Amino acid sequence: MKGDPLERADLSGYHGYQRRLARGAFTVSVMTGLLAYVAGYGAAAKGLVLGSLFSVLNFVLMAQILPYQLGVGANRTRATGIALGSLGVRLALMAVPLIVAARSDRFNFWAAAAGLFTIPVAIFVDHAFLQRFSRFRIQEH
Amino acid sequence: MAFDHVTWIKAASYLGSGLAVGFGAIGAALGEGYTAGKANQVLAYRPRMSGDILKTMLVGQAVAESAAIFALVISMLLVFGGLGGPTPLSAWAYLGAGLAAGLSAVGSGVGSGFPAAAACEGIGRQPKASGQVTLIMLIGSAITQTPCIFGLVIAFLLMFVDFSAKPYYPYWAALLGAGLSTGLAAIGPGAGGGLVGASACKSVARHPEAQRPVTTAMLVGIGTTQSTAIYGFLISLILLFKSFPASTSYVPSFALLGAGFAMGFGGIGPGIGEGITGGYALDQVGRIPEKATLLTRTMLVGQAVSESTGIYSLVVALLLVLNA
Repeated sequence: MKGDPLERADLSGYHGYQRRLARGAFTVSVMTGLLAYVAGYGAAAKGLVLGSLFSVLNFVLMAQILPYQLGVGANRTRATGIALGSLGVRLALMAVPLIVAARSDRFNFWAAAAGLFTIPVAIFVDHAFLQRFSRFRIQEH
Repeated sequence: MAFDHVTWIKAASYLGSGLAVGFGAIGAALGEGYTAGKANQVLAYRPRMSGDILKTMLVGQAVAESAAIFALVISMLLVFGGLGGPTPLSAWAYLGAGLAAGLSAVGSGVGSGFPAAAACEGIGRQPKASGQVTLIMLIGSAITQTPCIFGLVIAFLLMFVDFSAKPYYPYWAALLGAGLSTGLAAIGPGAGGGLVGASACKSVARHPEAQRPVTTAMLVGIGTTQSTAIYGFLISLILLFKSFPASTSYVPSFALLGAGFAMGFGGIGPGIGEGITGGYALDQVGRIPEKATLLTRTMLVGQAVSESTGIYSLVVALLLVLNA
């Protein structure tokens, strides 16, 4: 796409942020799951980790699609169309852990549903609290 | 084709599931599309900031999608949750649950897109304030999800409270009306809250030192905008838990359904109107933060006037419920 500002843009900071947030959120989720497992809540631990895995996958997919979404110029109708298609695919992806948890006793449904909110919670915690302490901050570079 | 009550319950839960995720996806996609369109405009004059703009968009959209995820959880529970019921009343409860979750996610999904779009615009103009703008965007987007949470609560009540001992007439209408009341009434406050959050993001970008008064005014503004969603929630709770005598007439049933529609549709306009009022007020708080108290007071008066039609709807809905 000629003249596309994203073509000559440096997106390394953007991709670095996405990787670090996804990694940090999933690590915390797995650690929480391990603690829950040790405490005897095996189904809840597995449900939480399963939900958070798909939350992270959804986030990574969203991060990959966004530059394409911006490549449509300032056409909001087309951008909304792409957003609807992308959201449909990602919602179908996020339905997977809920279906698995609903059908299997090895996974707790409510923990899987909570796990799907891993990324929104991680973003909020990062910006509202961790940004104040540079040691724990998710660095952009 | 046999159509016994078990089939009807299953069909209604599938229909409710489709409505929940369908409406939920529409709202979030509209919000995301609006954000992407606005980010494009900013990139046209700030191409070097594409990394920051994309990051803000990503963060905003990840939070905005929460409404669609709430709707997805209800949708999956309706299909795979092993729900059933001894009477056909459950079918109406599941249909109401789908409507409550789906419709309430529309407003919050659209509304969350506004602060994200405004944050992209603000960071494009004032890159140094990106941390403050992103934080206020996240707070605004998070509070904008409140009407959607009301929808989620009503959906859970409809799915898990046992209504089997209640008479079919007029309770089928009470259960459907409960879903419609909270679902529809949440649309306006969700979108309106987003408008307030968007103005707050622009104001902080314009005047980063004014973050504290802008945040306070934003919390008050969004809080007031949510009031018609609370009315819708209240009518839903009354419809769910008030006892209605069994009736062979259709009149009480339609009175209860009418109550749901009255409060549901009646909550849309005031929610958006209060959001517009709050948006203009926040814009001025960012320009003259020392007048924040006066501006917030004036905003509250404007929002109270905007809300009057929502109060009329509440009164009519209460009259319909009490006379059913």
